[in-house]
Amino acid sequence: MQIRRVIPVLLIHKGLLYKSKNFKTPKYVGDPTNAVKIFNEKEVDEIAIIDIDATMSGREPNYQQIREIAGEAFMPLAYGGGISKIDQIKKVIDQGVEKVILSHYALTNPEIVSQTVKQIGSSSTVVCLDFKKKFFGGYEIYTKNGTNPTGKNLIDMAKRYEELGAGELIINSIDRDGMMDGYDLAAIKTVTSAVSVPVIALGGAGTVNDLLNAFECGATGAAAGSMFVFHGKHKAVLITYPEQSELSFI
Amino acid sequence: MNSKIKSNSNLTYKICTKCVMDTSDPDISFDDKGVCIHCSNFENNQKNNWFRGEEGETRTANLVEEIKKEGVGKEYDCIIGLSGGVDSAYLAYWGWQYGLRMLAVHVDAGWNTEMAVKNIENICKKLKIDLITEVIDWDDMRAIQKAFFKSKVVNQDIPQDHAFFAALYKYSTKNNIRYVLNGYNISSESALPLAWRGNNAMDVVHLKAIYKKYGDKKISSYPFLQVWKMRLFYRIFHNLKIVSPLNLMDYNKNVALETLKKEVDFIDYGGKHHESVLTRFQQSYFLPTVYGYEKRRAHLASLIMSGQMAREEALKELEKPLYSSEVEKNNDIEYFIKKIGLSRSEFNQIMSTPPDSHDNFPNQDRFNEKLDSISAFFRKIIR
Repeated sequence: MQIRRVIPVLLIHKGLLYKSKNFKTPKYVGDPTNAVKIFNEKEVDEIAIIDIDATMSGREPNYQQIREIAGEAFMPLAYGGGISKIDQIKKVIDQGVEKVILSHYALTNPEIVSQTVKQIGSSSTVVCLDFKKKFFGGYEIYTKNGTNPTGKNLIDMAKRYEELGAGELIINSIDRDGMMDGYDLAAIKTVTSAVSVPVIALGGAGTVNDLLNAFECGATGAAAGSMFVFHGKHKAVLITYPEQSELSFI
Repeated sequence: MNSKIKSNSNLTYKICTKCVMDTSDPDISFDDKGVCIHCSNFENNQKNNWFRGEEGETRTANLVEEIKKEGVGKEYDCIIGLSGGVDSAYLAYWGWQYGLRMLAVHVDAGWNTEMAVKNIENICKKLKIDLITEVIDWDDMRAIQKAFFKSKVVNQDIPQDHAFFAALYKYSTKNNIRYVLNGYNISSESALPLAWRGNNAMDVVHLKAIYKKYGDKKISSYPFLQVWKMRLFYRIFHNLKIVSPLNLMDYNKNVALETLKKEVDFIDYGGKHHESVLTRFQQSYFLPTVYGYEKRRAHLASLIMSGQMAREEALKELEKPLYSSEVEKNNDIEYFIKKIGLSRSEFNQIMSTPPDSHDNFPNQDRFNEKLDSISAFFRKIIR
């Protein structure tokens, strides 16, 4: 059995940290380097950084910034955003990153997934799927920060990426992003029973209980943004991470 | 580093016979028994503003009553700044004991340590205090902090402190709060020499002048306090009452720390003001290297004056290096360089140039005079 992980996910926008709600209205939460330094001292299991501007503006990853951030992260670090070509993979890894997260370009060109696996191995290859629940049931994948409906089905694509060798899948609910009232547990259940590759749940976590629910539904990782950067009723920016004692029964 | 660092003045080296202040304070003077001016200032002045025992209790009760009266019909009685350090944490605990409804404000200027955020989390969770964080735009903060570093003026805290005051004014006005709880305490902060303080952080004219000379980008959202607002609006419509309750009790750092550890799982962060990487870098590296003094000396001297520490113990403390290891020191320097956006050679170049002085920059006094004459003029017209 895989070890269950609790993973903070940080979004980079205009070079700084922001947190969105339903993929919209990004709120400024600080400087990525210091945030990662604090998470590092909190000994988080793993951390993911996603540059939400790169694909939108059609640019490459910001390698220098990745290096600066990776310099503060002694835990496994995953990076996503703007990776479109195979020669960028190695460059990202060279900055001190353990895993690359593919998203938009994995949909337009699924072969990039198998090429990445070939180059850096399955366990370092992650595919992130942003989805919305469809009115008549099922889950549709969106790309470009939730603005681009792909017409593709979450379950089908999860199976496809598993075949292509992806080491893990992040499934991110756009409807629940930033809401802090729980994951889309039905979606987690459906995906985890359709594939055997590790699945990381993202979108909606607000309490430790939500994280536990994701594990109950078969997720290997429980990831969150808001929960680890906002505190209390005024949503004060404050970096937190559950104590080992709270997670001990995982 | 040797604790007997070089003096800035022409005096030959001398250390107070009662506390540990020495000629690293260029303005220090001694009486014929070798007792320094800080000690006599403490005995003759500051001590009279520190109310321990029964008088402190009476004053505390009156203050709490006033604060609660002012808070009637409002969501909060008072506002409190939280840094993650001991003084503000203990102040929050004090307020909680008296049932004050506090709104905590934290300013995140990009240099928080894990201990600081953990302490704030624990205080707010355990004492059920609502928190607001003012996150300063990092691009602005970096530019201003870099400019101050380039200037090498004494008060490197201005960029952080100014933003902190601005946040206090902003959220107290927004929530219609009159009282500000301030962690200043004579118990541990009485001996700070004037020469080590530099200019007042509230002074926006001064801050902008330094930035104009050393800054390199347009500032977009850093919260500058506005002069007219400070002088006119705040004085007339929103007169904040800043109070320092820690001076109304026998405030003892060690006792406070033990209480906080027990009651709110507080984590001890070692040196004073080490809740921020930047402050640690400034106090343990920048100031001793550039100005030849250690702020901890004044802190330890204060503890001696307030009877919390023996002189011998303080002297022993001063023998210890400012960083526990070279590795730790280099980590802080490397992190500072990376975060502020300098190359190693630029950093070395700045460190080797002489520092600029606060006196070379204008301050708010001139503007205040102007504003006074303007308001006098208006008063005349109205009448």
